[in-house]
Formats: sequence, C-alpha cells, structure tokens
Amino acid sequence: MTFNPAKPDAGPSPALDASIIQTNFSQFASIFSKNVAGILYNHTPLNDLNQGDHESVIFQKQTTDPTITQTLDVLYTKLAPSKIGTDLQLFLKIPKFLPNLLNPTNVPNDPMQITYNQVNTAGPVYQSFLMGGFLLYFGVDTGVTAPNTSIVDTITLSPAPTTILTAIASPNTMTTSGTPIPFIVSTNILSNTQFRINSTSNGSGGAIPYSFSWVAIGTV
Amino acid sequence: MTIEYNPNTPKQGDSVGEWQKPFLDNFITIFNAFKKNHVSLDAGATAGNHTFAEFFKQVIPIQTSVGEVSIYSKNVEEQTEQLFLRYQNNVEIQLSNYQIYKPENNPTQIKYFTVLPGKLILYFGQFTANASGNILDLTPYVAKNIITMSCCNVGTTPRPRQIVQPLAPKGKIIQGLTIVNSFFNQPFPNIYYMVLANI
Repeated sequence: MTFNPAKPDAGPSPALDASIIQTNFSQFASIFSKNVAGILYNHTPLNDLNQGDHESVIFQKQTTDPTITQTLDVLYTKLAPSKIGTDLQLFLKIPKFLPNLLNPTNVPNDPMQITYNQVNTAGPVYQSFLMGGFLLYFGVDTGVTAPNTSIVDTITLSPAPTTILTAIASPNTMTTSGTPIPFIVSTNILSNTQFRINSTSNGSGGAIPYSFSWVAIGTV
Repeated sequence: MTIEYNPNTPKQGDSVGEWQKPFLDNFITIFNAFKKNHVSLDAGATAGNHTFAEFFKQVIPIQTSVGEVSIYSKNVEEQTEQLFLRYQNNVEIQLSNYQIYKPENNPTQIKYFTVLPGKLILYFGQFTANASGNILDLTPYVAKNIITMSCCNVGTTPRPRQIVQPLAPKGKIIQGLTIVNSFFNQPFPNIYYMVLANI
C-alpha cells in the first residue's frame, strides 16, 4: 500500500476510490511520524498535542548540494572524505553574502561540514570537531625531567587527521634553579598524525615532574 | 490552473462528484508539499525521512516549551541568515556564524579560521614575523573583541614566549595583533597561533 496522489480521479465514481483514499490518509499519518519500537521518527504524530513538531530527525543521504536563492539555511547530509574513511556528515549551506562592505573577498557560499563522526572524551588525547571540516585535539603531556636533558615528547593524534595545521604547547611547570621561569617550549609537526613538544626542561636543576597543556587543530 | 490545498472539503451535503476534485487537489498538494524537504510519500521504506531541511528566516522570537529544543534561522546583521538554537528555558544560542572559507595566505602567515557557537571566531595558523613589522593579520575582519590568544614557537629549538597585543580597532573591528619578542635579541618569532574573538 503506497500513497497515491492521483486518486480520487473522475473515473466511473469517486466513491469506488474510497479504499484508496483511506489508504492515503493512513499512509500519510504513518509516514509523517514513524513509530519504531516506541521511538518516534521525523515528526510528532497527527492528533498529538504537538503534532507537526520534529522528533528524532532522520536525514537521507544526498548526492548534490542545494542551490540557495531565498532567505533560508539548509541542513543536509552527504558523504564526506576524511583521513580515516568516507562517512555521512551533516552539512550547512547559507545564502551567499560576500563580498560586503567589511570583507571585499568574493567568497562562494560553499557548504560547511559541521560534524565529524567521532569524538574522544576519554583521553589522554581528547578530540572534538569544529565547523569547516576541522578536528580539535587537546590534552596534557606529563613526565619527569632529568638534569641537563631536554624534553622531546611526541604526541600522536587519533583519529588521524589529514594534516596538522597548528600545534601549541604551554608549560604548566616552572624551573627550580635560579629565578624560576616557565619551561621554555616549542613544537614541530612531524607528520599528519604526530607533533613534538620540545623544551629546555629544568636545565641543570633536579628531576621534577613536568606537564605541558597542548592543543592542536587538523583537517578531517 | 493552480492546484491549492482546501482544508474545507468536503462540505455537508456535497455529492461524491463534488468532493472528488477537491480531494484529488488536496492529495496532490500534500504529496508535492511533503516532497519539498522529505523523501516522497510513495518512496517505500525511506518515505518521510528528511532530504534538505530548509529553515526559512524567522522574524519574530521563537517560543520553546518544556521538553522542546528548536532550531531555526534568523538574519544576522552584516551577514545573512544563520542557524540558531533555542532551549526550553528560552536561552538562544547562535549556532553558525559567517561563511567559513580558506583566507589567502601572505608571505608571513598561513591563515585559517572557524566559528564556534555563541558568535565566536577562532583564527589559527602559522605566523613568521619579519623586519617590516610584526602584525598577525586576523582575516576576515570581523573580530570585535579578542578573548584569548595562545601561541607557541615553531621548531625543535625552544624559545621564550612572545607578547601579544591587539591593534587599535578600525571602526570597532580588530584587524590584527602585534607580536613582540619577550626577550631582547631573540630572532623574529615563527609561531603557531590560535586567537579566539567575539564577532
């Protein structure tokens, strides 16, 4: 039984289409709000106090981007590549408004990827995502210094980004010899998944625990 | 002839012949309207799922009841329609902002930016100062207030951190930051940076 928009036609008698009409009403109600194992999908059912509202919204994969000619935003899903595979992601497309008085750059209103299908809240390498197909990683690098020995710690990012764009480390430890100052630090990107935290450590001072807070941004 | 939905059919006393056309028109209208943002009513298992969810610009405040969260679009001054989120206690959060794109690099700077909910912009990238000036450019020029900034020297040789100061605003917009070496006679800095600002 499927919805039939061509009935009732002006044939022998519209009354003969009564069962088709009833099917249309029934189909519309059950499609408008699907109930699967007690979970409502897409819309609040007809006759409900909140009929027409959205419930768990299901987005069907699209293969083309929408063209926007009106004052509206569009949310949709399509396959998007990343370093670890191709997955469905949620995209947002807004009306084109550039260039304008503040920004003379003629920027097209390209769709913006607003999701990624993984987050890591367990650490020690924490990860979330940013609009535009970026991944945000952060954490704390810890260890114990050794006298006159530099710190060279490698951070491996997971899930793997395609490229690391920026990697910043900040010392949480002060030196203990002479006038205490924060550990001096630098970073260098080694590959698409690794960067290194470099520090002069505690110099000639004794062994002490150290830590660096770090944050990095990469592309999906 | 335009087919329109008629919510007032059938009327009491209408014959079957009289309600046939309005019923047909109503079903056609429902079918076509539903197809706008949903998989078609006759599409089988996926019928009813959303295809493109279009959010037309709202011009009056949205009310959200207990147990509800609303997503809608609203015009943002000097921009266009952006997505907003409103929770059941009526707190409104701007979800999207600006148009994300890759700004053009210059000889001293590799530039990127993204946005965060709450009208925030995050600039990031790599900057190498040179003898002609130490200005870290914040393109696009939409930053009204610098909230925080973090940087780190690039390379295997650790160096002291730089001092960062926002440029004076031009017409309420902060277009860049001055980067100053914190220790005398240090080489010009090559840094990774992140700058968070209010739009």
